Amino acid sequence: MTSERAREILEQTVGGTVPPEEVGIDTTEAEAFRLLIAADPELAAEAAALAATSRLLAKALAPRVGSLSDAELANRIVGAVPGGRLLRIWRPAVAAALIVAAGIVAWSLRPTDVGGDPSAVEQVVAYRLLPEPVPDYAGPRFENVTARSGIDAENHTGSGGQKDWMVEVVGHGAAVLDMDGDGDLDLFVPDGNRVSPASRVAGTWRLYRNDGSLHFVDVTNGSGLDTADAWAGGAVAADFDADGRPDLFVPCYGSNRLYRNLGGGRFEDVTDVAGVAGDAAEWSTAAAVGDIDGDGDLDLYVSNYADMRRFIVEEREGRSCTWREMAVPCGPEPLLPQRDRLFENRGDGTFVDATEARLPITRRYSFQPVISDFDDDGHLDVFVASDGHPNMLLLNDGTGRFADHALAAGVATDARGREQACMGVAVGDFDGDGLNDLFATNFSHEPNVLYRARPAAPGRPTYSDATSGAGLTTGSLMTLGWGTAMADLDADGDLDLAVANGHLYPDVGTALLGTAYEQHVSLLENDGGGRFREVSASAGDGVRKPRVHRGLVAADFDDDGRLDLFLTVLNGRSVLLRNDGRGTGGSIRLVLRRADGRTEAAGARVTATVGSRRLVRDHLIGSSFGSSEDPRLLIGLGKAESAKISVRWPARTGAAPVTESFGELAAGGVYELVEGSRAIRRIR
Amino acid sequence: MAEDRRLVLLAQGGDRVAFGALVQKYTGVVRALVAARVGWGADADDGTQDVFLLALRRLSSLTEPERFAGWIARIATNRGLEMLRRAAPRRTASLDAIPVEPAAVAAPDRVETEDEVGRMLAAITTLDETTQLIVALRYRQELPVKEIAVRLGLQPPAVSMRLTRGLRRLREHLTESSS
Repeated sequence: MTSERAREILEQTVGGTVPPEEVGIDTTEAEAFRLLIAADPELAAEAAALAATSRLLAKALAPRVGSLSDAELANRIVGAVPGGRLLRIWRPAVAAALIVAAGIVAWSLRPTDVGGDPSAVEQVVAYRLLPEPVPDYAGPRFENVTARSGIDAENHTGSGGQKDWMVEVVGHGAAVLDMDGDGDLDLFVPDGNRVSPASRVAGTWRLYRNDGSLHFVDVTNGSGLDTADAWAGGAVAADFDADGRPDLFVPCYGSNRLYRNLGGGRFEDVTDVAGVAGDAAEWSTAAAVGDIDGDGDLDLYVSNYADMRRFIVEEREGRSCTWREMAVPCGPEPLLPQRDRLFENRGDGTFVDATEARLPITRRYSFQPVISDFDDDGHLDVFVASDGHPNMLLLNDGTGRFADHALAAGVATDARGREQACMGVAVGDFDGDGLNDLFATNFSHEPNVLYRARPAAPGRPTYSDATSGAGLTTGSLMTLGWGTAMADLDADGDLDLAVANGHLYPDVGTALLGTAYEQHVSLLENDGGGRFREVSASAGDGVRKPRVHRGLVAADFDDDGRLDLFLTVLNGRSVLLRNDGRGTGGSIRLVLRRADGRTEAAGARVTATVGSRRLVRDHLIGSSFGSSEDPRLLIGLGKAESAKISVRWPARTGAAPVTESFGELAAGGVYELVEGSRAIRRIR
Repeated sequence: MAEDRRLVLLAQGGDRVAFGALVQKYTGVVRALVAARVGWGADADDGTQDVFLLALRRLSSLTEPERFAGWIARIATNRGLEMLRRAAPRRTASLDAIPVEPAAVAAPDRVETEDEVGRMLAAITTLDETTQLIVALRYRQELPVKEIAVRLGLQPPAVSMRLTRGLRRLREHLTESSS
């Protein structure tokens, strides 16, 4: 690199304070610049001076301690804005002018049409929720194959057009499982319900057996799941009794349910024996699974929200709420948030309620929990997305006792200290630095949030809000996100993002708030350097089509080594989107089991070494939104023909975690790896 | 920029929510620009409110809605200057009284003094309006260069070059004022 070019880069990166990729400088040149600057005292001094000025400037302009936040001040100003009513009188005329100016359907609209039909105005000036297509997108497209797949699960949460209560707008996720051990992925889709006793539904949960060719057979009848009329928040599939067959836990509004897999497509309701019903007053929104006490079996963390029956049953009248001047179902305030529950497995699929003994007394309006080792000590921790409250990061002290470190870790709020309405969660190493990052979906008019993990002292995980730097702010500002996956959708070795979007309020599109009730699925392609670009408009009709999405699962349903997407839809039919494989790389899939050879190794951390790259991937049970994932961990390898695999198993009580090497595995295979055996069994 | 245009057009049509969205979006920038002249605190808050009320009254005169960012920044700059003129004797006191964040959040290698922070705020007013706006969007709103470029209709390298030149000017100004 010449010194002229180095000086140019110095100028363009404002002395190195602006990430080179933001101004179109590639990583090779950026690295050369860094080396040159280290060897050139003059350049180094100039960079240091710019950095110092930049720091002082940031400090001078930073929000003042103790003063109103910008958001608070903005609210005060908006409250003081007069004259809305007067101004509205001439709105139709301006709208008409807009239409003419835009040249859109002007020929078909008379001024009177515009004035009398606000929806025409909205169509013209509507905010583009779905961004423009990306012409050079060469990745996979997702085709809607629901109709030919045999999946017809329908959601009945509340009535379609009129939502009076918050529980009617939330919906649920789904669970992917290999219920019959034949190696392909089956599917369980629960359902919500209705408040009015007269319109309750029963028998609407669906269990589908995959016949191996992306065709599913409805095997609900006679499964033991066909009579349920509970109000589900989702489901997780895990082998709680270690018999080699995945069971189903269903968090509910009301008592939860646990179904033991008996084999042969039959399930038995063992809720009472297992002791996981919780309290009938609880609204359990989601669950996650992992060996939190290090005894080798699978424990259960259940998120709880608030006792919404207090409004629905006891104080039906006299409540009215607005959101941005629109009448909407009331939120949970002022109800006391409910405490989440931790159920400790005795080893046989029955549980002890360990909430008092192991969890802090913190209460939140909780949505999705995820169980992973966030502080890298080998013991599994819990992150919980919270709605309007600080998120929780519950760190395991090594004995299965937890304390909340979210604030210190930087994941309680967004970068400005604002609590968000976090709902869905995904975990993964999006920037390839070997540390697991966190992504949470949020309400409309606030972006989703990406917390980047920073190198930190053991036991003190540290994150920074990387949302903006990763290119995730603008695209998610007006969407309302639920289920999400941080997964390698194009199997090129880095983690992409998928988000199920859909608003809460059926009438939101008529309020000119820049959003809509039905929204597309957001697909964000990772450029390999931890920056995303939204490719939703170019990734196929299945993704583009607006629906009121809720749950999302990325799983390889057709067993072709590529992740497909399954989504639940509020008051609509679920959809299965097939990854067409365009531009995708190769992959390996891993079934990870504890030493007993049966129990899934939830929380196991896999390192796949491909050349000089180290891909770190966790196997989770319970993430996204009310869902559990593909039980086979899929690792994209790009063009590599193999990868060297090592697994760090979740730590046993009182012991350090053990990392086991399994050598080189060829791309394209499905392998079963068992803790402590070093044995590799190629399943497919 | 397209989003600003859409919001401005809606607001010009009387949509209070759209105007509210603009307020939400630009409060940080406007407050930073006003504060650069009158110091942080109640004056900056009042000035910010004035700017938006003034903007609402004049919104119909904005013929290029996509240029809202520059337009509101100019109103903020003028309002700050006007407040400064009216309360000239308070200027020194105001800048001297700028509350500084706890040292714990300052850069680890050096703690900037209260005086330096005050002089930096004063120095911002010596930059041209576009550079002031870029500085506020970058350091108050913490926006990436790419997003600033989109909002202002510039190329990203043009934004970063302006930032670099602005920072150099600020440094020179600080050096001069301290000597």
